[in-house]
Amino acid sequence: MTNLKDIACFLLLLVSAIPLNQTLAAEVHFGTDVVPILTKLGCDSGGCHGKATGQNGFKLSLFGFEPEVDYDALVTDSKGRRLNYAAPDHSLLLLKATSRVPHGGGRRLDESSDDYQILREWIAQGATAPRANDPRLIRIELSPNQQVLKPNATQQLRVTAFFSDGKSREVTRQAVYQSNEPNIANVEADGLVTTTSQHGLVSVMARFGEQIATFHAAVPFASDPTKMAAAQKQLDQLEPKLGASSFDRHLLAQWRRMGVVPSSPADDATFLRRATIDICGTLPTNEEVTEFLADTRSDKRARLIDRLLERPEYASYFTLKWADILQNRGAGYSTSKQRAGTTLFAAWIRDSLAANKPYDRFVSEIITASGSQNENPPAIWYRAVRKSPEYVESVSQAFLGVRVQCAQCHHHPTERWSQSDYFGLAAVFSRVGRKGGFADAEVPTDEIIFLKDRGDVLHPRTGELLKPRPLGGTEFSLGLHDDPRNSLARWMTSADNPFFARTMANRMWAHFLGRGIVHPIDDARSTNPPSNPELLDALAQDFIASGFDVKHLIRVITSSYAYGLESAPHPGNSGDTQTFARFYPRRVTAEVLLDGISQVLEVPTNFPGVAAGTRAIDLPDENVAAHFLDVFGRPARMSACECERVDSPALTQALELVNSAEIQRKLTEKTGYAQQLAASDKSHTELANALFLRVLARQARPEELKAAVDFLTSEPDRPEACRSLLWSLLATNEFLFNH
Amino acid sequence: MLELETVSPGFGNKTRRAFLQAGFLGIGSLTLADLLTLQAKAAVKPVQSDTAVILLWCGGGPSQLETYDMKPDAPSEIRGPMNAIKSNVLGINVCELLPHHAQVAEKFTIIRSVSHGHAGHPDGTFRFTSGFGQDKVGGLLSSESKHPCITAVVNRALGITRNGMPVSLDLSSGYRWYGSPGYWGEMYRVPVASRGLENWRLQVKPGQLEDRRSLLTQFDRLRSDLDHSGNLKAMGYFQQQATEILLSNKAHEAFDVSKEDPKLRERYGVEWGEQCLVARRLVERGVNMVTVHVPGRAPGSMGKNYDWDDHAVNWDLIEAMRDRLPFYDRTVATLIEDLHQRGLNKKVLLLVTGEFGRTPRVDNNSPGRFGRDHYPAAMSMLISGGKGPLGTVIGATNSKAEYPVDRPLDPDDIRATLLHHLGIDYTQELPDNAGRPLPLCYGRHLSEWA
Repeated sequence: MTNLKDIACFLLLLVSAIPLNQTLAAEVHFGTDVVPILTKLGCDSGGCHGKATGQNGFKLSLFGFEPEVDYDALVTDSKGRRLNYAAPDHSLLLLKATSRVPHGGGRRLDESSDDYQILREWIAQGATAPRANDPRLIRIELSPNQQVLKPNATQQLRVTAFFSDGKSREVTRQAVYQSNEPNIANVEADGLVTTTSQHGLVSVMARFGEQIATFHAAVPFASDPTKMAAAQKQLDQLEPKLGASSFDRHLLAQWRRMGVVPSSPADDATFLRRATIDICGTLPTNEEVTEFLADTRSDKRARLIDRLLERPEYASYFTLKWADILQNRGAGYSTSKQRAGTTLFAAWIRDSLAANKPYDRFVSEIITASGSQNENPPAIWYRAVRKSPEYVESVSQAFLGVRVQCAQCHHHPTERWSQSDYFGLAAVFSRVGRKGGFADAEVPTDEIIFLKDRGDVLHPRTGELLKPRPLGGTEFSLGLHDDPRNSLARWMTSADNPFFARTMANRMWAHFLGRGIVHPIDDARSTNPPSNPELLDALAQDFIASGFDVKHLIRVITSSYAYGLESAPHPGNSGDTQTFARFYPRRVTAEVLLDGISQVLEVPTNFPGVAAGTRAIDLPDENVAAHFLDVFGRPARMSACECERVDSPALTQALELVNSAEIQRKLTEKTGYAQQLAASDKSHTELANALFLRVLARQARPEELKAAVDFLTSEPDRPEACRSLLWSLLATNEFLFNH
Repeated sequence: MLELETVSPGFGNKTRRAFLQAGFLGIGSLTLADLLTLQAKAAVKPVQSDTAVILLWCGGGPSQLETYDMKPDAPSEIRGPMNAIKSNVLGINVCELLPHHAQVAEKFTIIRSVSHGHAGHPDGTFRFTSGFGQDKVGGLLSSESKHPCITAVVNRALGITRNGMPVSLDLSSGYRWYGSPGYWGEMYRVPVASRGLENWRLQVKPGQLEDRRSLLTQFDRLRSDLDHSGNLKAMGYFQQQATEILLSNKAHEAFDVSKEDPKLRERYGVEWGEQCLVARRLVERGVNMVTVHVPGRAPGSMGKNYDWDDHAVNWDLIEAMRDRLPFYDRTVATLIEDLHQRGLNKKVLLLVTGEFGRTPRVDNNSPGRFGRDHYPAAMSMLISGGKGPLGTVIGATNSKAEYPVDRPLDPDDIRATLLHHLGIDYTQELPDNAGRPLPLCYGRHLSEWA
C-alpha cells in the first residue's frame, strides 16, 4: 500500500513538475495561483485566519472566496509589513509559514516546495493585484469520477482546472479533498483515496477555488468474483419474493451492484410493533398482538398499515414530527394566550394530517399564510420564523432538503450556492409585514401577517439590489401587488421542482427506514449524493403522481421489501448502513418511550398545565416541563433540522431508567399494572407470559419464561417480584429500541 | 466485551443468591476498547485524562481594579479608594483586601490582558464559556448558549462518567447562564450537584437493584451488533455506568467532608468555601472538571451583592468588596495552598474568573455610591497549576486598566489552555446543526502551558 502511494506521488510530481516551471516563467496570478495555496495550507480555514475575527491580527477570507480581501490583507494591511519585495524570502508571510519566526499555526510550508516558490515568485514579481482580465476559473474536473474499489485499496485522483482563457492545468496538489464516509474511505491531501476494511458507498469531494467536483466509489460487500457470483445467486432466489414495484426493483439493483444479500424478513410480532410505533407512536396492545398473530390472510400487513393510518394516533404522532420541523415553539411565552397559539397551530397540523391534506397544499398554506394568526393558524409559523436568515434556512432545510446557511456569509464550500442564491431567496420574504399582536414577552403572539409595499434586499458584498428568486432558479416576474411567496410556493410544488417531492420522500423514507437515501435528510448536495438515486427518483415521481398523497407515500414505503426485513445482520450484509439490506434499529423517541412506559404500567404521566391524562405525543408544544423528555432528546425547536432531536444514549437517560422517582412511582402506584398483576391469582407461568406479551409485544421464549418463573419462585415478595420483572423488561434494549 | 447475548445464565441452582450472581456476572465487563469506541462515537478523539480543572466562576463580572489589576497611579476616578499591597513576590501587587493572596503569590499567576466584546451577562458568559455570544433565535434572545460551553466540551471529549464517578460536575445551580450543552443536546449537560448528589441516590434497596440488573441481563437478548451506530451498545454501557454509580459510594464520599481536618475545613469556610474543599476531594477521586460558583457576598452576609455585578444602582462596590473579599481571599488562598501541599498542583489547573471586567471609570449614577459597569475590554483572572508558571503576571493593561497593552488574549485562549491541560485536542472540528465544521475551541493555549 505504501509503495503504491509512493509511486503515485512520484508520478504525480513528475507530471506536475513540467507545467510548474512554465507557470513560474509566466506571471503568477493572485486569484488562481496564490490563493489556492493559502487554502491548501489551511491558512484561510475557519479555525485560523479565515474566521470572522482573523487570527492574531491577520484575517483572510474563508477558503479564499474573496481574493480582493485577501490581497489587501497581504499587501496593504499592517502597513504592508507582510511582504518584502526587495528580499522576498524575508517576507513575513514566508517567515511565518515556514516557522522561521514563531507562528501559532506552526510550520505549514517547506522552503524547497513548489508552493513556496510560487509565493516567492509572486512577491518577487511585485505582488501583482487581481485584475478584471485575469483568467477566471470556470470549472474543475476529477478523474476518475467514479470507480468500484476493493477494501484496503487505493485510488489516486487527479484534478484539472479549466480557465476562461481556454487554458487548463492540473491542480491535484492545490485542490482540497473531503470524504463523506471516512469509515469507508479516507483521502489524503495529495488526492490519494484509501479504502478501509468496510464496505459501502463513499463520495470524495475536491474543491479548488469556488469550484467543486465529486468522485463516487463503491466498495462491494462481495469482494471477489467468487463471492460476487454467490451473492448474485442468492439474490436470484430472492427476486421472486420481492414485490413487483419499481421501488423493490431499485433496492434489488443496488444489492446486486454491491453484492449484498439482505437479512431475512422480520416475523409478524416484530413487524406489528415496528409499524405501530412508526405510524402511531404507540405500542401495540396485547389484543392487537394476539389478533395479528392469529390472522392468516396473506395481505394482513397491508391491512395493518391501512388501519394504523386511520387511527387518531397517526395524526398525533406526525403532528409531533411536523411541530418540530415547523418550530411550533412554546418557550419564551408565559401566558395562556400564547399557549393558545401553539395549540392552535398543532391542531391545524393535526387536522391537515388526519384529513390527508395533499402535501403541496399543506406547505403552500404555511409559507403563503397571511392575516391574523388566530384566524389563519398556518400563519403561526411566522411567529418562530421571523427574520431573513430564519426564512431562508427554515424553508431550505424543511422543504427543499438543503442547507444554505453557509452562503449567508460566503460561497458555500461544498455546493454551488452563492450569496446571491441566499439573498435571492431572502428577497422572497422581505415584504412580509407584521402588525398588531399581543406582547407580554419578547415575541408577540396573534400578529397579522401582510404584504408590505417594498422590502429591498442588497447583496452584502456588492450592494446590488437582489430580486426574489428561488434556489438555483431565475428571478420571479412579479407585478407590484404580487406576493413573491405565492411564486415561491408555485415553484416549489410544480412537478418538475428538483427538491420538493424528493425532500419529502426522503424524509419519510428516513422516518421509516432509519436513514435517508440522502443522509442527513436535509443536506442534499452534489458532494453528498443519494445512496440509491433511482430509488429516490422513483419515490419522488410516485409521490408527485399521487397528488402529493402522504398516506400513499407511507403505504409505498412500509410495503417495501426493505421495511419488512429483520434487523439482525448475517455475514452477507454485516456492516451495511446504506443499502437498506436490513432494518436499522433506533431508539424509540422520548415521547413515545414515556407514553409506552405509561401504557405498560397503566399509570399516566402528569404533565403540568395540560389536561390530566394527556399523552406525551399530544402535548401542545415542547415547553411543557418533563425531565424525562428532555434527557431523552426532546428538541427545543430552535431550527427546522430534525437533527435537533437527539436519539443517542446518555448516562442521564440510563439514570432516569434505572433510578428515576417517576418510574418508581409508576411501578408502585396502587392502581397500576404491577399491583394489579401481583393481586391477581395468575400462576407464575401465566404471569410471566402476560408480562412479555405486554412489554415486548411478543410471546416469551422458553428460556425467558423459565428465568422469570425461577425468579418469581425465589422471591417471596410477589409485588416486588412483579415490579422487578416489569422494570427489567422496560430496561431492555428490545423495549427501548424499534428494531 | 459487551456481548450480552453470549452470557449463558445457567439456572440449575435454585438458590436465590446464586441465581442472581449468575446473571450479574454478565455486566460490568466493558473493556477499555469498548469504552474508547463509545467515546469515538461522540466523534471526538478519545482521551483518557488524569488531569483536572477547577473553575471558580465569579458570575456578574469582578472588577479588575479591586482585585488583581490595581492602578495606584491612576486618577482617583479610576483607581478608587482601595490600595494595593505588595505580595511575597516582587512585582505582584494585589488589592489590600487580599492579604492571604499576598502570602501565597509564588503559587499562582495573574493574567491581566484578556478582553472580548460581549458586555451583557448572558452574552459575556456565553462568549467566555463557549466562544460565541448570545444569539437571537425567532426574535428571542436565547436564554442558553446555542453553542456548547466548556463543560459540555469536556463531557463530550472525556465521557460523562468513568468508574462510577462523573467526569465533570457543577457544584451548584449557581449562575444560570453557565453550562449550556448548546446544540449538542441535554446528554452533554454538566450534572449539577447542588445538594450533594441527591439525584444519584438509589430509589430502591441495593439488593433490589441487583435483582433487577441480573434479570435485565437475562432478558436483554437483542444482539448489540444490530446497530452500527453503536447506540445499542452505548445504552447498555450507560445503564451499567448508572448502576455502578448508584451502587458505589465513591461519588457520595467526596461530598462527605466530615473526615477532613477541622482546621482545614475552617480555613476553607462554609457554603461555596466548603464546595472548594469538595472540589479538591472530587479531583482527587478522578473527576476531571469541577465548577464552583462564587457568589457575590460572603456566607451569612445579608448584602444585596448576590453576584459580582457591582453597578452603583445595585449596591456600593466598595462595600460589596469589603463584604466578600475577606472570605474570598482566605478560601481561594486555602485552595491554592491545599492543592500544593497535597502535590496536586501539576495535576490540577485552577482558574478563577468571571465573564468580564468592569469599567475603569467610576459610575456616578447613584450619588453616594461607588460602582463600576460591565466592561469586557479588559479583565483579570487568577490561574494556578499544570505546566504553567507560578508567581508571575501574564499580560498588562494600560495605565487605566482600559485595554491590554501587552500580550492581548481572548477568552478562547484561556478555554484552550484548560482543554489542553486536560489533554483534549481542541482544534478538532465537529459539524454544528447546519453542517458547518467548528473547532472545539477557537484560540490557542498559552505557550507557558506548552
